Amino acid sequence: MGVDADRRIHGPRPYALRVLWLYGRMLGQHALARLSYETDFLLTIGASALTQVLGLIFLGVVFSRIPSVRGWTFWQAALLYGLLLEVRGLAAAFGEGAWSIGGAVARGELDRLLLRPLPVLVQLYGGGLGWSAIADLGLGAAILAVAGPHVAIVWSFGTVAALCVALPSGAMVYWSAMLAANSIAFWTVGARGTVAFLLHGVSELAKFPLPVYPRLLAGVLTWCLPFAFLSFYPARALVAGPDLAVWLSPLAGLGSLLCAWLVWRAGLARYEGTGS
Amino acid sequence: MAAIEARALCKAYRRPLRAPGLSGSVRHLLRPRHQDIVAVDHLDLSIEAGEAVCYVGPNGAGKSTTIKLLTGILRPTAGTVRVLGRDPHRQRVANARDIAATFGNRSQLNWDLPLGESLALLRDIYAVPQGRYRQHLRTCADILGIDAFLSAPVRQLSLGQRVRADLAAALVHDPKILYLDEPTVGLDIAVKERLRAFLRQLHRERGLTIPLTTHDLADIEDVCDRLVIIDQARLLYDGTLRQVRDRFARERVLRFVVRQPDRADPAGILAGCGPVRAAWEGDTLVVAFDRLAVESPAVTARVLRAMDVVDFHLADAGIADVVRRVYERRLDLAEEGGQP
Amino acid sequence: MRAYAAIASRQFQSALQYRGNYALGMLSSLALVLAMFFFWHAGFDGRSAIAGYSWAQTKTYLLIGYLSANLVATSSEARMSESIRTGNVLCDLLLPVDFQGARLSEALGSVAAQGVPALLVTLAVAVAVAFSGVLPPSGIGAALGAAVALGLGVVLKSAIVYASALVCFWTTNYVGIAWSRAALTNLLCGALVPLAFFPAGVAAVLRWLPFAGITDTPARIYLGQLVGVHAFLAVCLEAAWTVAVLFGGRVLWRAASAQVTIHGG
Ligand SMILES: Nc1ncnc2c1ncn2[C@@H]1O[C@H](COP(=O)(O)OP(=O)(O)O)[C@@H](O)[C@H]1O
Ligand SMILES: [Mg+2]
Repeated sequence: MGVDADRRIHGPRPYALRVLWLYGRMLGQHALARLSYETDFLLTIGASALTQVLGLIFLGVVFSRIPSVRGWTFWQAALLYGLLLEVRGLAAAFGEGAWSIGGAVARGELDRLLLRPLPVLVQLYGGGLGWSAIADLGLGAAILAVAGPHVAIVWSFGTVAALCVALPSGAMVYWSAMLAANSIAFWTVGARGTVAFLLHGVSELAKFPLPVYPRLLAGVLTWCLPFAFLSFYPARALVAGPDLAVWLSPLAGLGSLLCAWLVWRAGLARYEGTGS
Repeated sequence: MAAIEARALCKAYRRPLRAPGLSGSVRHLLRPRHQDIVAVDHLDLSIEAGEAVCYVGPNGAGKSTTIKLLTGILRPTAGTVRVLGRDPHRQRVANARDIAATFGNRSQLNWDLPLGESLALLRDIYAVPQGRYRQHLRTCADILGIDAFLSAPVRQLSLGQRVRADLAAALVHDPKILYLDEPTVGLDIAVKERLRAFLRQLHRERGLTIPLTTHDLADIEDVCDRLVIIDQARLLYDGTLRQVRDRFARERVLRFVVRQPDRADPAGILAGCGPVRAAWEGDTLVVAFDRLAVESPAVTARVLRAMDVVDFHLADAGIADVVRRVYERRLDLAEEGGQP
Repeated sequence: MRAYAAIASRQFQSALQYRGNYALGMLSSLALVLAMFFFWHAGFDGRSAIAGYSWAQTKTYLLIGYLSANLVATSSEARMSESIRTGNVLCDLLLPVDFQGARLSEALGSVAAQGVPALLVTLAVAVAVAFSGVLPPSGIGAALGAAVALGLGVVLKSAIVYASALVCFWTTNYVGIAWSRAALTNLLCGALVPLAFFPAGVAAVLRWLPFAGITDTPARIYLGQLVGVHAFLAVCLEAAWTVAVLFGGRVLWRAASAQVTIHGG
């Protein structure tokens, strides 16, 4: 057998770029594999769309009985709801990997990832996209398109810039919350996403404008579990013009990211696999 | 410097202590208690580059745990590990480029993807040049026959195919060390043979360092030149295979089936051969002796001359026998190590 | 019967096993009910009644909704999907017990583990907010009737959860299924908004659907809005739906078990 002298290597060489490229490559591969399970794919998207439509119906029913809550009208609340869907959808699309942590820990599957010369998180998140986010993103866009004209949005350069800052920051908050919450599986093997369900539940509070809640809870949603940055602060920036809170949203995003990363690191250090 | 160097290596798992039944669950809920399970206890091990080392021990002895410590999957509770000069846990990524591992009972491949795609992804993860990758695929096709199922999703492979696929995947990046945890478990004889042939070739021709654990003692004799026995987290024996064979696997048994046996004491016939033990089992004369102290032809010649032998059979105690005796605590290799 | 009791008790134990898990599951639903509570509190600001409900009645209704929503754990969906994914379903199928019976026993086991403390929390919350006026049952008959309806609702909801969990035979994504199932039942049973708040025609239709039995029927009996023959008929409808959903689950299961061979590699 002759020596094959082809020395080409696929992809970029610099490490950081290469990791990014590999992440994209893994996602692509999984997307193709996933598309072959059509029923599963459609069910996933359908289920998510159903969930969000029901949420919208709920909002409609509520506002059919009361014209405004704490100064927020139906259309303003719908705008907020649409923003939440967009932000959470964005985070969920690239955050699917977090949900596999629990199972991977319980079944000892992190062994496999630990044998590869790539950061474990990159491999986990490269394990799949959150397809259900398609429904959220689509529906959210539709809601924004319908609700937008009914709300007197203060359009300015500032508003646009604020949105550009606030939406990715909000996505970061939710993404980090899911990572941190799912990492709890390192401490209580078998908890299987319970904490993540809890946090997702808490993020449902972001469906309503913040002033609905008592001071203390509103403070928690801004300072401790900053889910108010998912929808309320960006929505308020649209309705009333950008304010300090929306400009500070990157702090919330990066802070959450840092906390989540620390939790993840601490969890991974505890990983012991399973007895074979 | 040895390729793999472990010093006083320890690993203890924490396991929740819970009394059985409902009340136990409730009590654990209120006051959780834990127990430390020592899986590896002050292990000292040094493996040179190019060695094939067989790691045996009963279930739960701590073999897999040791492998996980050496590959960097687990962090040691105490002690140090150096693999190619690195700490495999702290320098996980760097270490991962140089090693590979397969765990017999669980695939390292992605369940949903076709094998070919998984291999291509590994090629890119390890930045393997295209030419070398193609060559690797050819080798694997020739020896392991993986070309037959390259396009099937891994979940659809049979166990034999999956194990071969795992091996092909482990070797994509041409690792310097290949850890194998029970590589032949559950395989049929043909696949086992194929696998062993491949491992032998990797070891002899490419000089790959292969630490492997197994329960199939044929793996040892076929692939390895060194034997490490552990039990209950502790090292029982570490030495070359030849040493073990020459020291402890020296018994040879000859069985002669005799027509119309008189069942007389055979000691007279065999006098002069040296120290032998002989006894009748029905119409079969069984003669056992140390193969280094007594010459088989001498024994055979005497028996053939004295009796009407219709058939005969020779058996040597193998490594399997030695290991069994060690497990059963009937043989202490370390203590008897000094004697011939 | 012993086998089912054993399964229920096993489930009870495993629900208790992870105490963090356990407390958090309850907190999670508490977060949601608090959100609703505050939202309606804000909504009632400056109003004495919405759709004929006073704030006190709404509050009471929501509390019953919280209770009914938490008596049945969603974990049975997670468990089934998991066992299907890992192939354990084959082992489950080999057990000499009825599959649906086993799953329902599990659900009831979780009710004991998760539901009973939820009841305690509910009572604590009720006591805590009692000063702002959660209403007592409108009478002894109403209290008994509500208890019967609520108990029946537990079986009904378990049956619904079971049927929806069977969808896991066709998908690997139980999280999505569980969420949309929860969204559907919670909205249509009244756990989020009293059914009376829907437009009148819609509310009437919803009361004929199986979901109403979970929250709306017990809540209205409790509040004295359904009395006498009407209450009796509503409970009969609930019972009929329970039987129907159980039966539907069987049919679905038969279709689903044909899938096992396909997924089971
Ligand atoms: N992740 C784990 N958590 C707790 N105990 C474990 C774990 N893995 C292995 N053990 C225990 O450690 C001991 C050694 O296990 P292992 O290394 O798998 O043995 P072997 O591979 O020799 O059969 C056993 O008693 C096993 O039960
Ligand atoms: Mg093992």
